[in-house]
Amino acid sequence: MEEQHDADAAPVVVMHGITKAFPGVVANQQAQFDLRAREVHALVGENGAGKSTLMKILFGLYSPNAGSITVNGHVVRIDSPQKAIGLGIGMVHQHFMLIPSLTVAENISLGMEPTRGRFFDLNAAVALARQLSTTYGLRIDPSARIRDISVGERQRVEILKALARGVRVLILDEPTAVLTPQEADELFLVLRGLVRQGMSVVLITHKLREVMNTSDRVTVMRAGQYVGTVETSATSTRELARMMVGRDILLRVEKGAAQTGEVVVQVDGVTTEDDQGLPAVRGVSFQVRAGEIYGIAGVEGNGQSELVESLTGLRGVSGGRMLLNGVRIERATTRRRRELGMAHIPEDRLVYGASESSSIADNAVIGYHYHPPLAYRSWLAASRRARWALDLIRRFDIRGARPEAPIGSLSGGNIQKLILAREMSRAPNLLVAAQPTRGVDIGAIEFFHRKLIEYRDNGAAVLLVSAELSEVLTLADRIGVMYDGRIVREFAGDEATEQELGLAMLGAGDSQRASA
Amino acid sequence: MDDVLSVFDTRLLGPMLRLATPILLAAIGGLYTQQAGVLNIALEGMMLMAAFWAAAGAFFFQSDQVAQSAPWLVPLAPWLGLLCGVLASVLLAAVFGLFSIRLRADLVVAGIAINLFAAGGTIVLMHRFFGTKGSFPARARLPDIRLSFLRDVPVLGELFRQQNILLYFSIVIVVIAHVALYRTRFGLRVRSVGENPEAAQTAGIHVRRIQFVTVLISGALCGLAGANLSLGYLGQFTANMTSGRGFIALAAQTFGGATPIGTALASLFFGLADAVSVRLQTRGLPSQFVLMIPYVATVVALVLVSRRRSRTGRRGTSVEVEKARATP
Amino acid sequence: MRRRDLLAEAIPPVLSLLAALALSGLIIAMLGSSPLPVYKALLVSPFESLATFSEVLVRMVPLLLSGLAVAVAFRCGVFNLGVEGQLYLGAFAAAWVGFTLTGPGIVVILAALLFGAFVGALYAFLPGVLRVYSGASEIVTTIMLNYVAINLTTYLVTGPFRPRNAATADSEPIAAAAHLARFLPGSRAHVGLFIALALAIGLYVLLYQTTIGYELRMTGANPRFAEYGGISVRRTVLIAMLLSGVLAGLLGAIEVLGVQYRFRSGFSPGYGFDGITVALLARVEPLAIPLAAFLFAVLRAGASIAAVDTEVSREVVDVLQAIIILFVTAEGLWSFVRRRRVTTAGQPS
Repeated sequence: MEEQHDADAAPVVVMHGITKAFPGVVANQQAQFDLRAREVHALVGENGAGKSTLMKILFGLYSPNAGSITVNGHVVRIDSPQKAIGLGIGMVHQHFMLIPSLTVAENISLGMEPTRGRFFDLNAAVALARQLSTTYGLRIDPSARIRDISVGERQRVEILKALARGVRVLILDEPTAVLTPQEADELFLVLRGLVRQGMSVVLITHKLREVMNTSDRVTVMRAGQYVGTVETSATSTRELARMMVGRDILLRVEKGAAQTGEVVVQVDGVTTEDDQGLPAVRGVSFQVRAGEIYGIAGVEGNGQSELVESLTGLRGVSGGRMLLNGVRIERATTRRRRELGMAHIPEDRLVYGASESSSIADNAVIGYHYHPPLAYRSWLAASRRARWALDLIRRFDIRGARPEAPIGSLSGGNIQKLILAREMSRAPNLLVAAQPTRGVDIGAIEFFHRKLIEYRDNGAAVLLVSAELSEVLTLADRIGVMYDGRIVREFAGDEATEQELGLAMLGAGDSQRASA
Repeated sequence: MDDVLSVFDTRLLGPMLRLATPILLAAIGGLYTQQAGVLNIALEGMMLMAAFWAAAGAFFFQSDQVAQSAPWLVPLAPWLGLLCGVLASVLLAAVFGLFSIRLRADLVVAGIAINLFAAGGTIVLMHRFFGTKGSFPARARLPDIRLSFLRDVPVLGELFRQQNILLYFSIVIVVIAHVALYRTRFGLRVRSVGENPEAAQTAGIHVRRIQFVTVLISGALCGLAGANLSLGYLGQFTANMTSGRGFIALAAQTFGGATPIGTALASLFFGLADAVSVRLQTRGLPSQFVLMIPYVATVVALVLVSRRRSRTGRRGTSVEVEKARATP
Repeated sequence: MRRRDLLAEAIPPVLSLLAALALSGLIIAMLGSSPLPVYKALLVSPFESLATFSEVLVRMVPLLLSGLAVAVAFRCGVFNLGVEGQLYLGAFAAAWVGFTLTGPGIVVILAALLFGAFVGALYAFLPGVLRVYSGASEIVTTIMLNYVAINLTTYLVTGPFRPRNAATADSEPIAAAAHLARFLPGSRAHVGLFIALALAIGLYVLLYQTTIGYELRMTGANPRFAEYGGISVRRTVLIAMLLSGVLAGLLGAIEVLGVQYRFRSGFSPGYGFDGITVALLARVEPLAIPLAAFLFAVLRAGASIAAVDTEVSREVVDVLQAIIILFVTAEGLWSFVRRRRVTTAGQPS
């Protein structure tokens, strides 16, 4: 924890009685939040707790249905991001708001572009970018195009965008989700520097360890409501978790030893490009046996998504081999891979895993819809689909779901449950689970973890890809660390420590290539 | 076969420019909306409506009432007609923009609706005011610019010996469009809005407003294109005289990568196809086959361009529905 | 669908229709005519006699089939704007069978229908293939191909297939035995209507009770989800275009066999685009399309009457349908109609 900060007691921002409802969901219910000058204030809660929504309201992206906001003592109505910026409030989003084909300088100036007459003054924009970079200690190249720079650099551009507009309050939404531990440390140093210069920082995060290390105060939200605010120095991760969930929870699941069998999936020297055509997977090799969970750990953006997509048939492979039960699958269709026993819980559940506008029943049957027991000679009766869906709903306890209802009426966690239920319902040989518990309540995470282990115990091979180190450590029998498109190190489950894993994730540490 | 090949000579260059002009004007409008993320299918309808009002306007400003009460307006009739055409097209564009941007109608369906409105509406109007469903004369034309000193110059002569003034307008417009898109603040904002509307919005840019402005721009340019059709050479309005040019303009804009210069070159290509088709008709080939040429050329061009564009990486789903939606 | 949802789904089309009628009335008034006689002609006159009502039944058939053709493509996420061209080719193909083949009527009819459907399917398959394998937008290609088809069929009927003593751009008449039977004496209403209705039911069953229908719907709803689940998006899109083309080809064939009895150049007053309106009015649901087609047929029949009784030309219905389409598809107008149950927690945080 940092040395005692000299936070001013008078609050800079006060949000009170904030209620916000979307169709089907109440995101904030009488929520409150106060922010002092010169403090780093963490805002924590599970997914669906309402923390992002609350801050988006502060930033003017949403309007509250009820409640008031006071900035520097004046009651204000923030109805647009422009208004928020005018009040000195800036936000760095989880998904960067940058224009890939434009340069760093152009992105920073966007919306307040310097002009000479009608024309855009590029030189002035570049000069501005350089000056900001020096003042706040965030290194960037003003003339580089966004699509060519790294994730860490892009985040710096995002921060500079806010600083360029003279904000005094900076909101960061899950900033370390895409950073390596070292980059995260750099970021926190920068944030401390900003606080010393008189600014206030709001850190939206669910990483309790970070909260304990870097914040001055913590506000906890649960189910859209305000739970409490505590001084960081006076609390612990355990207590925060309890406040977030409302009960004491076990963060580790019981797991017996793995009983491994044949090699189910073998990956040799696979290379793949990303959407921009740049290499994302640069020669990955590993294998997973029946009855074990192989966890791929790594900071997001090191090629895991592309690896999973190429393994499951959603992306083409440019080199290497992949075998499933001894059959070459690099060019196989998704249907063929499924027929060979592959199931996939995708990381982008609303993009790949579900069809938002379709019914629960329609979502429940995909992958099984063209053969018995669901379909007979191309007849796929609606009643059969409904019955199948009901079966999944019952077995996985998805409350309040009706087969004809649109799947959008379920919460994110329940949608994920349905996807899990669906993918697991046909005893696959290989279950590929990418970020399976993202957006799922802590309570349900336990359930998911137990199910994955149950699957392993029934003889399936499980490939787990997760950015949550604790999840990988809990579940995996063997761990492969992915960095910069390669598996740089492999560990057996019990010999891995967080430190060593962290180092490997950085590309540092003992980099022995994983044996093929 | 020799006969067919002999169709290609430098005397095609003049007609090529002439026939490319309306396509070019509409395509530039289309590319602005495309850069802002709005697929504009309504170019056809806006052009047609403009063609009607341009001709009707010119007709009106030469009528007896006007000749008596404000005779000084009469020689200006074609220009006033042009103005009417542009206004009509901009109005129609505003309706398109209102429904597709503000009210979140499906872009393709809204565009089709505008086209249907123009197709039916121009006939209803023509029937009501001119008593016919075929065509009516505008009794005036926008002037040509003759550069007789170029008469004997080989290529330039063919190109510029005699062209309608609107061609020169469109050359200037291409230049302005290029500079505006890449060197001004407005152009920067248009490109951001098209590439990442959420990012633009959080930077404080009014996404919908920018999109609406580009739609109005396309309306104005389609107004010029329509006026070119009815007042540029023929001096009359014929039912459905656009004949798909609005869609060819869309293809030209795609072919040209949504850049002004690329689009201009693509429009020239389609102008050439049109010119060849006119030529071939005089050579005795069945007129219907010849009429097909521009449309077949468009399909071929589109296929070639799209092939080059399809990227590796994501597999199979090259069938993303082209609902280039406006934003949140 | 539950009754309450059904009602909510029907509100946008009904209100759009009313708004369109109101606005059109305004336009007619601005043009100096009284809207009331036009309204009467459009909405009331078609029901005034058996003769006029049977015309509605005649016009309903191509509108129904066009709506189905547009709908099946739309459900799969593609726009088949080429129904016009496909129906022309299907019509010519059927006419050719009709004036070339001899034999018992039922055989000729079946052959004509099948051949018309086949040709229509091929012509829709082409832009489908271009879209799937090169990414060329089917919006532009199908419209271009319309012009090609119309020109081609005109050429055929004034060139190689020109009848000996031809005064107009018509083909030879088809064999008398190949005429589709009429079922209302004294009117032109023919059994093609029942074929079309059967096809509507068939499309409903296909979409909701078969595997291919499911794959079609999922591809339209979320193509990435479909691909993820093992559905070949490419294959499905091609099938959708084929089905759409079959329906368009049948449209042309049935018009030839049931109404025109020959191929007449330019016989379609834009059925291909009317189908878009019909499909939208019916919220792209196969079972609602006959109703929407009926409504639209009333308007079209009424417009012909209006053209005679008033000074307003029949193209006013095109203006009407444009307004209908704009209103129906404007989500921003109808969001208040959609009520969802409000639940706690979950969603965007």
